[in-house]
Amino acid sequence: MSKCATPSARRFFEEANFELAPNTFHFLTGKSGAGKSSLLRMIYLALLPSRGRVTVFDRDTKDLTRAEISETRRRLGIVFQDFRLIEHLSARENVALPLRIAGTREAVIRRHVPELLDWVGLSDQIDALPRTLSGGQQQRVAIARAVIARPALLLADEPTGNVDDRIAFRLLYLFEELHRTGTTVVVATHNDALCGEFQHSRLHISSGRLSRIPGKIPETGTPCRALPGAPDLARD
Amino acid sequence: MVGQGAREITINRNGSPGFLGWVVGAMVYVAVLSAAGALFAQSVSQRWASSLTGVVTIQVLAAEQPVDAENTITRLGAVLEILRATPGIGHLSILDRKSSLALLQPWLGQELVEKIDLPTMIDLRILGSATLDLDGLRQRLQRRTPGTIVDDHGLWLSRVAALTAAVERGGWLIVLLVGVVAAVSVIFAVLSGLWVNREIVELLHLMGARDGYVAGRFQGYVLAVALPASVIGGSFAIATVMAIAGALHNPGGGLGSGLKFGGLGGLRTLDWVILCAVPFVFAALTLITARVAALVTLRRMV
Repeated sequence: MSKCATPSARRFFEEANFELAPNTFHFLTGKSGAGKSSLLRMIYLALLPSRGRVTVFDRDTKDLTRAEISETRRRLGIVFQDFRLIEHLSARENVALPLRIAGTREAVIRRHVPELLDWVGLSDQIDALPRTLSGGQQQRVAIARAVIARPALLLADEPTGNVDDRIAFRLLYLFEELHRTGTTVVVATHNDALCGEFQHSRLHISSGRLSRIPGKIPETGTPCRALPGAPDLARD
Repeated sequence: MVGQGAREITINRNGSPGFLGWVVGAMVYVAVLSAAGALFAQSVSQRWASSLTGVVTIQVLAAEQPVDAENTITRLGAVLEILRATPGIGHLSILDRKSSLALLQPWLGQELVEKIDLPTMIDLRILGSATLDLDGLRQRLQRRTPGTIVDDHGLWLSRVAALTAAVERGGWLIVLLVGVVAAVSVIFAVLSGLWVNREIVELLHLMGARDGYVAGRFQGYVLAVALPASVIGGSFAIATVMAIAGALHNPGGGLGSGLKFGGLGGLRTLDWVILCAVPFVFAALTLITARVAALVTLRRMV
């Protein structure tokens, strides 16, 4: 896998020093090419730092064996910027993948997958192929796939990049719900309206430096407020 | 893991068996035919050998001539005397001049036959467990009745054995080569599959899949293609073998009719079991090859 860091991104990697506490919610912001995706790739072990240290779940990523990398990744949920759904598999099969990989029993898979697709409002599209779904629907399939195995850490790379603000807000509510069940969430975005609305802590990459902007919502996310105007997810 | 759940990996998107299916089917067809040839050669050589081993034929020339000055013992009598004194001989039957002439008379006519000086033939059955000292017997007969021929059919049998052994080895060699070709085809299918599906393979890895899981996906694909292809190729081959066996078995069927091939073209029950197992052995071979090829390549890929 190639390292595609721009010069400013490389500088960012030289100066960054931060830690994400368990069960926190963060936005990761910065201009395109600032290094948001590269940072996420380092966390999900697709990229190793050439210098310095990245630890995930208290393990130095450089020390992990091939098997341990797989084990670590099973504790992560990743929403890719381009969804990366498998085109010839239905929504149901795409969402079931992480459970299959983890060796979950078929009976459990058959029960959980429709439940989760219902939760993201796609109960009518369970057997649809990705190309027959709208961008927003595909995004929700990708999110369902990222969260089905109850990850300890959810990484979302521009999850709202392909949808309008209305759907973007809805997706963020989904992430908040997940966060309240104990998952650490990192959402990379360049959508300032989202950060303004949701007021979580921000990690901002700018001019090659990483700065931390505390949010108005406390970082440790125990249920602290009811969702205002809870979204009707069944409607798109 | 094999065959379970959805197929993340597809090498032919339209679901057709494609290149791999045809290759495996054709290879299994050839392999079953070659194996049948090898088993047939083995079985026939064994059958003929067992009907001829234990039999020694002795030809006594000028059987009525005396061997001693007193004219009391004929050459035949002298031979029989020696044979009776030789341990290890079970049954002994003499095809005398009259019987031999009776056999030849329809072909050569009465007049001609009476002018021929035919040897008298003696058939010996050697006792199963006893070992007859054939060389000693030859020497004793040569001393007493020069010109007597002792034929244990060894030369003919050894030639037949050499021929059938060559056919047998050749048959199994073809099976081996065809297996190698099938394995190489699977390796190419897996390599091209890994290339075509590289994004899906990367995705599976990012979701925490181990190489074994990804290899299992390829095995599932290869088995889904290779097993039906093997069974179809094998069925056609066995139908072909049965047709040939039927032709050999048919009493009016020309060439084969005079030779003893036994039931179903001389193949034994065990031979048929082996032939039916060949397609499944091939399917297993493709499965193992697919796993090894995928694991080795994946380790190098990432």
